[in-house]
Order: sequence, then structure tokens, then C-alpha cells
Amino acid sequence: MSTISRQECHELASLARLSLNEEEAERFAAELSPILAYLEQLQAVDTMGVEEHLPPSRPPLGPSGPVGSTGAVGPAGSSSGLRDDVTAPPLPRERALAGVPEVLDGHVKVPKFKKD
Amino acid sequence: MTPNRIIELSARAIARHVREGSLRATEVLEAFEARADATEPVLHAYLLRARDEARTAAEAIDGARAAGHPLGALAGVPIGLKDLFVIEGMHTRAGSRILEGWIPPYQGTHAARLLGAGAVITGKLAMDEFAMGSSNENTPYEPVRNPWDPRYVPGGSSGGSAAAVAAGSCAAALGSDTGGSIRQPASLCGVVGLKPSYGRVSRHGMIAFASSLDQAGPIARDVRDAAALLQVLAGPDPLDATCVDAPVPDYLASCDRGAAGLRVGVHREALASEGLDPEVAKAFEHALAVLQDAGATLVDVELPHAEHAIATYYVLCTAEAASNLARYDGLRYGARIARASLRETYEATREAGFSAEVKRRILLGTFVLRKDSYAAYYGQAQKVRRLIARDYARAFEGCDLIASPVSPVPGFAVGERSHDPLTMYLSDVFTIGANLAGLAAISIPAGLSAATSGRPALPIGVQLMAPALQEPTLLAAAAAHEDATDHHRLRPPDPPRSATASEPDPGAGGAS
Repeated sequence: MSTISRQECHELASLARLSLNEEEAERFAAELSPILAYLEQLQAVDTMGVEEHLPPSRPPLGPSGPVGSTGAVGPAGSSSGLRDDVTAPPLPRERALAGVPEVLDGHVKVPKFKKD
Repeated sequence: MTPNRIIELSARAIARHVREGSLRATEVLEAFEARADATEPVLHAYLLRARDEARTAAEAIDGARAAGHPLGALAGVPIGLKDLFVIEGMHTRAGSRILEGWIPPYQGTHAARLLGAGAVITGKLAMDEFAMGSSNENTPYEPVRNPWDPRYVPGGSSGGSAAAVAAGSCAAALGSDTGGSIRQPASLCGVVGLKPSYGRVSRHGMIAFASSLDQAGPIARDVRDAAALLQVLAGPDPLDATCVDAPVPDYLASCDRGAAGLRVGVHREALASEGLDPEVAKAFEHALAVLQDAGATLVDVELPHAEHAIATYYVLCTAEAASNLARYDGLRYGARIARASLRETYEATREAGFSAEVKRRILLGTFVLRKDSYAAYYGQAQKVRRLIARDYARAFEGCDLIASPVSPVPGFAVGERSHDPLTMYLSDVFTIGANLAGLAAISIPAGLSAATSGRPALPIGVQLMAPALQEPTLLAAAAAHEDATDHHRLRPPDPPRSATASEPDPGAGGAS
């Protein structure tokens, strides 16, 4: 059975750019272990020869309805919804930047991310 | 007309009165606002009440009528939107501190279409943070309470939407449904909740949780109001490539088609689970009898992979959430906790901005997507999802609809389950399949549970599911059930009971 250690919680958090304190890491390790154990049931399902589900919009859709020969979930008689690649007027810069926490000379200002 | 009579009107009747001039939009708005003033101190359904914007919109409708302009299908109807719907210029947070202060610079498709039809937007309705939850307890704000008994949760994640409609603090509302988040709160609050087929309604301007599962839909007091809202919302949108380009039928007309000749599938095996409350089972069987009386026939269906739906769902939705929520980096919108480096800024912002359930799902999603667990978890879940979708396709070869309960229990008390995420996840058992397979589904009121010493009388919903884009069949059966019953006319206590009355027996909220 899968369990997740505190250390693993810290590693996952680091990948996801979360920083957990020790108390949180302990709590999430305790909570995630039974959830993972529950999810492990999937590994017993026979999926030999079954392809992964496709996102509903990915053309071409199956020809015969919701689950056609490709098995993609996409209603019959519908097209993919992809439109022509035509440029539309963008948001004016000042409106696009209005909700940005820090702006400098019309740009999003971010903290330093390169070593000198 | 008195304010109390106005808030009893259907959304369709309000629009008709406003179009005909027998009610002013401002008068309608005042009636619903008075109701919200009375119920909000107990229910907390609204995260934001947009009084000024609503007043301006209602006055514009009245002005348009006075000037002889034609009015839309939802003229003057007060509608609340779940907080994850973007409304240009209106504070939108998806129930999260990480978006605190964000004012959308663009209009979402849902708000645009509702406003275009003459609706008056009353505000932003409370929700579980980023739509992750089944009780509205996953929130940094005040949790929403159930109008039938404020000691009980309203369900989630669209709990504010369902509670507001049930309490009459808006005439209808918009929710979103990723694994049951429209249908389950509709069931727990005794209103109608419609999850359209995946792609039927645009997702542009709906803050994403799990993009392959999320769908917007109406919560309303009766089936025809839900149909009227779907009529306005449905249809292709150049701003959402997953929104299908299929004709939009006349949904209101399909509500009058009746249930005669419809074959209703029942997955008996799922009903045998020990977690099913006897009151829910009883209400479900009664609803089946009502459909049979209306001319439907029952058939048994098999869904061999249904038992794996919850596991499949929680792998996929957490993976998609971990990916979607990567955008909350503290740089471009919302809150920023500034630190010396970029990485520390990300971590400090996300640490402060997300609450526990969101972090839990991001961690789980990160785990299932990680290189060494991808094949066993994410890849395998995508395969099982295909098997589940195939099961439904095969079942629908022998029936037009599939009926089931919505929630295994009538409701549960605030705090009863919040300590146990897995138990909370397991309560989504009946609703998740429709999202995994992209189906249309609806929760309709099916009566109240019997009050016992440990639990008050609480609403119970029944679910109908139809193949993708078969909303007309879904609505025909739902309306036929409603026309033969009075469950949708039941109203919660007015004024609402106090939330601080004697606490219910904590073990009495149902089996788990």
C-alpha cells in the first residue's frame, strides 16, 4: 500500500511551489496516505488494449456519437469548435495591467530570478 | 404585487411581468434584496452583493421598456452567479484569498449572455474554494448554511447558489459542476440543478478547476426556469474551443413533451451500497413510480466500471487542478506576498493564498502526474475513464435516461465530515459519472426526509442523466416528474432558523 511520508510531502510541495511547515507536512502525509490507498484500486482494473481518454475537443471526434470508434467523448453532430485563427483586438495594456500587483513602465514587475 | 408574492414567482413569470409592464425590474429587485437582507445574516450565501450594479441594471431595463425597446427572455430576473464566474469590473475570487482584490478586466460569456437577455446580476455567490468541496466548508470566508436548517451544510461546491435560490434571495443562479457541484447542493437545498453536457455551455470566463470535467449550468426553483436559463447560456463560443458547435433546441418546448415512452435505466447494483440512507432510497423509488405513472418504463442497466468512478475522478481532477492552479503565482493578478526571490514569492503567495483542501488536491495532483507515478495513476485513470464512458454508451443503447439518487444522504451537519476528506470524496458516488462521460444530468426535488430526533426534515433530490446533447429528453422527463408532484413548491422556513439553536446529534447526519 502506498503511503506518503512527510519528506515526500515536502518534495511534492516543492514541485508545486507550495511551502509547507512541519505541521502541515505531517497532516497532509496522514491525510493523503488513505486517499492514495483508495486510488490504488485503479491498478487492478484490466485496461489491456484500452487507449487513454482523449480530451473532448480533440478532433477528429468519433463518427458514431458520444463514444464512437475512437471512444472520445464528443456529442454526435457537433464540430470541434475550433475557429479560424484570426487576430482579435487585444485588451488595452492599461486594463490588462490594472490588476497586476506590481507594475513598472507598463510591464509586470517580478522579483529577481537570475543570479548576478 | 407584494414583495413576498414577487419572490414566489418563477423566473419566467418575472420576465413576462416585466416585459408586459405589470412589474418594474426595480420593484422585483427590491423584493429579492429585502429577502436577502433577511436571510444573509444566517445563510451567508453571497460573497458579494452587487447592489449598485444591480440597481443600475434594473433601472436600465425599466428605461428600455419605457422607451419601447424589446426586452430579453430574462428581463428583470435577479440572478446570482457563483463566484468563479468572471464579471467585468466585479470583484471575482473563486472563493479564494489568492484572488483577493482581483477585478476582471474582461467579460465572461455567461455574464455577457445573461445580461444580454435582460437579467439583473445580484452578486457573487459563495462556494468551496476553487469549487473543491461538497459542503461549502472549504472556505476562508463564512461557510454557507442550508436554508432548511442552518446547522446543516448546503452542499457544494455551488452551495451559495443553491442556498440563495432556495431562500429566495435571487430568482435563479449559476453554478459549476465538475463532479456534482451543481446537482448535489441543489439536492441538499431542495431546488433544481442542471449540469449540461460537456461543451454545451461555454467555459470562457469560468475560473478553471478541472477543465475536462467543468461545466456551467443553472440552479433554479423549477425545471422550466432551468430550461429558460440554459436556452440563454447554451451554444457555441469562439472563445472556448471545447464548446460544441451544435444547434440549440427549444428547451422550454421540450419540457412539455412528457415522459410517455421514455425508457429509464436504473443501475440497481449501485443502490445496494450500504451508505445509501433509507430515506433517500424511499424518495428515489417514489420518483421512479411517478415517472412510470407518466408513461415511462424502467429497465435495469449495467455499469461495470462504476465502482471505479470516484478513484478515476480524484486522480484526474487533482491532476488538472494542480496544472490549472499553477497560474496563481502572485505575479499577474490577485494577492502577492513579496519576497526577495521569484521562487520565494511564488511559495509565500501560494502558502498564504490557498487553504488546506486546495493544497491537498494540488499535492495529490502533483503526485499522480509525477514521472514515476504517471502511468500507474494518471495514465491508468484516463484508460478507466474511457471504460466508464463506454459503459454509459452501452447502457444508453437500451434506455433514454438513467435515474439515480444525487447524494447518498439527505444532508449532513456542519463540521460532521470536514475532518475526513476521503469520506467527503465518497459522497460524490452518484454524480461523478456524468462528468467523466460528458453527459447531461439534472437534480430535481423529490421530497423531504422524515424528521427524526437526530435529524430535521431535509430535502432529497433525484438525478436523471441523458446522453450528451440530449438535454431535451432530460428536461422532458424532469418536467413530467415535476408536473406530477409538489416537491418543487416546498419552501424552507421563513425567516430562517437560527444557526446557533441546539446542535444536532453529530452522528445523525447519515451513513458515510
